[in-house]
Amino acid sequence: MKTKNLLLLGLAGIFFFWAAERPGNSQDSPNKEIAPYGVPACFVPGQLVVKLASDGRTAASANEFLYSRYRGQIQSLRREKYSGYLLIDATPGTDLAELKKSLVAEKWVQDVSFNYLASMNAQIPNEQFFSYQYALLNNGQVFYPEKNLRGTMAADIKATEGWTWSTGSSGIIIAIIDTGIAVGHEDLKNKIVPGYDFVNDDTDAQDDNGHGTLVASLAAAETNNGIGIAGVGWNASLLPVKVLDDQGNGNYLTIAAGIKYAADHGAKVLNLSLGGDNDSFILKDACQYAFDKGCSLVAAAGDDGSDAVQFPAAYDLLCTAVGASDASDKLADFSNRGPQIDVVAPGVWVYGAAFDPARPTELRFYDWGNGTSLAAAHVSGAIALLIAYKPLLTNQQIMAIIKYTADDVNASEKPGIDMDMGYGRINLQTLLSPYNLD
Amino acid sequence: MKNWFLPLVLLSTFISIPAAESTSQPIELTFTPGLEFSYHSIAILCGEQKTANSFNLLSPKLTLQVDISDFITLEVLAGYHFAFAKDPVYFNALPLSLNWDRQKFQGLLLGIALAAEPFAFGDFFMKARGEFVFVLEKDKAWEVTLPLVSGQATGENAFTLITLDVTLHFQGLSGLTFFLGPRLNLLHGKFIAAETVADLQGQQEMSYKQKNLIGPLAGAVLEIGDNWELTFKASMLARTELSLAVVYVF
Repeated sequence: MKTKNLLLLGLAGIFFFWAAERPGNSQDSPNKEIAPYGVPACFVPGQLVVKLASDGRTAASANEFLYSRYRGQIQSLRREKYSGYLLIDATPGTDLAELKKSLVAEKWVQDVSFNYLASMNAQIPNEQFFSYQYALLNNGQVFYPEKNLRGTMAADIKATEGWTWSTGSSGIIIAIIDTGIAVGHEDLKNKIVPGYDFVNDDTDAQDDNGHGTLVASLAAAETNNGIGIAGVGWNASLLPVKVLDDQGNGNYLTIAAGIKYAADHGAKVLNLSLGGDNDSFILKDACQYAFDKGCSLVAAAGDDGSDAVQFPAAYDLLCTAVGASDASDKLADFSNRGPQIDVVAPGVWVYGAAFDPARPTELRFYDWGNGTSLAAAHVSGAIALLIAYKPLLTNQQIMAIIKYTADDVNASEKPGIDMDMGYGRINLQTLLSPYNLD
Repeated sequence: MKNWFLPLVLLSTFISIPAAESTSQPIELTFTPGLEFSYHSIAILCGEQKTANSFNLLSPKLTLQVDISDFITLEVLAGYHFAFAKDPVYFNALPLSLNWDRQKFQGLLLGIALAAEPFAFGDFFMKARGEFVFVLEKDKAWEVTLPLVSGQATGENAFTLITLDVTLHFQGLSGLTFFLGPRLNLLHGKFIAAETVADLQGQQEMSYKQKNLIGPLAGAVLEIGDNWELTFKASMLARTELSLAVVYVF
């Protein structure tokens, strides 16, 4: 009896695994099985593509043969002009999987496939000057035509891949603590929330230098609006906090006031594309205040090309210190280096919204710029996307994730964490897309 | 699978035979050992976003029916199972998002069932059967490797499944009984993912439950010889459920 039991067990097991494989697990299942519950079908309904064997029938004779042999199952059949394959439109109601099996069995058929669907695995905005933004998508294109500057393929922050997972939220505010923002600029005007001017002590945080406008646009210019450039933070909002004067200068007290203001007025990300050589409690206390309120602080490393990271970027536990890379993922020669450097982002010949104080009514102005300021803006935009996607993350976790998901782009010369590029160039794809467990 | 399943089958085969001999004891209990294979593909709604997915469960199990009266049968189930979600499950609340793509979990499956046959008229009779199963699964672990740091992710899947069948049986044919009726399914489970990558730690639970409660159930019982019964059941509950059971009747 034990033998019989085991025999039956085996028979039942065969049935069991046969049954288990039935519902849509096979690649050959018809699309209604593969795509239940409103998920788009994975191939064009009713279509099969036939690849003829090289020593078999010609396309013309195959047409005749198929029409006669599979009468009633094939509605139309034609030779696809680009590939040369035969494209079959099956009669409605035909069991496509069965028809495919029958066709595969024909001697003169090398293979048969469903006409599978695909889609771009990236979110590419429709901006006018997107091809200039090698930082976001670098296909090795000429990104600065006047200088004929060309990038290196894939030396970018993988923004288009990252945007497939998050395009941010208008509820996430990036404070641009800088020279102000050209609030009427065509690519920024719809993104700005009311800010403050700590230089003139009023509520008009209009830019009078241009630096803050360029930085703001890289972080979160209006995106997919068909004009200008794309901002990394896509839907994020911008809070202009003017702490630097028309020459781009300021003092720690004013900057500290701006940091506290931003933290108190809903900003989740504080972009500090500024710095000084001296450590002071004035700046540190303000950064600590904002950090304790849960803000993520992003600061530029400095543009001296020196071995000293400027403050506040040098506050290692409070700020993400950002250096600049170029269109080939090389360290910019002006980018300050030091142990506090966390990551790098593109900061060489970066294109963005511009403002010329001499032409204050020109609000469709764009230009190139250089600096770790611009690199920091990319990181601020990336963090805005991350916060929108994962609102429960702490600022400590955010600092870590930005670093851990960066690409070690100088690994060939300096593998691992180094004082030039920290953990490497940020990567929005790794930052935002899920890690696939094998 | 081999480590758990085969010893369990063999052990149960040996144990069930002496148990069956107890039918001759003064306590008039009848023991019926059996073997059942079932496959469930249940449409589920997963997580707070109620993402549609499909929960697939394969379970070979041993059964032991005890007829505790003329109308009521108690059944104990023990076996093994394999479970997976058909579509990817994303854990996006973790610091580093994780994707389970058809991750298969396995472990012991235990359960109990109670069946009653309250009415009979002519060649027909009614049967109500309720079954509760739960699982003891092994956790899974994976290496997580980022460019400059690495860590570990772990995964768990825990669920309970209650099925209630009310069926009308027709036994007018010799050796063959057909049945038909509604099946109610109550699936409650959760996927748990955790990760530790350098100083980042996180855990996310994602509960899931069946999308549809009730579906049709149909099947047949075939008597083979004097002692064997073969039962086949099929149910459509947005997706498919199939089971094949073999019992030995003393």
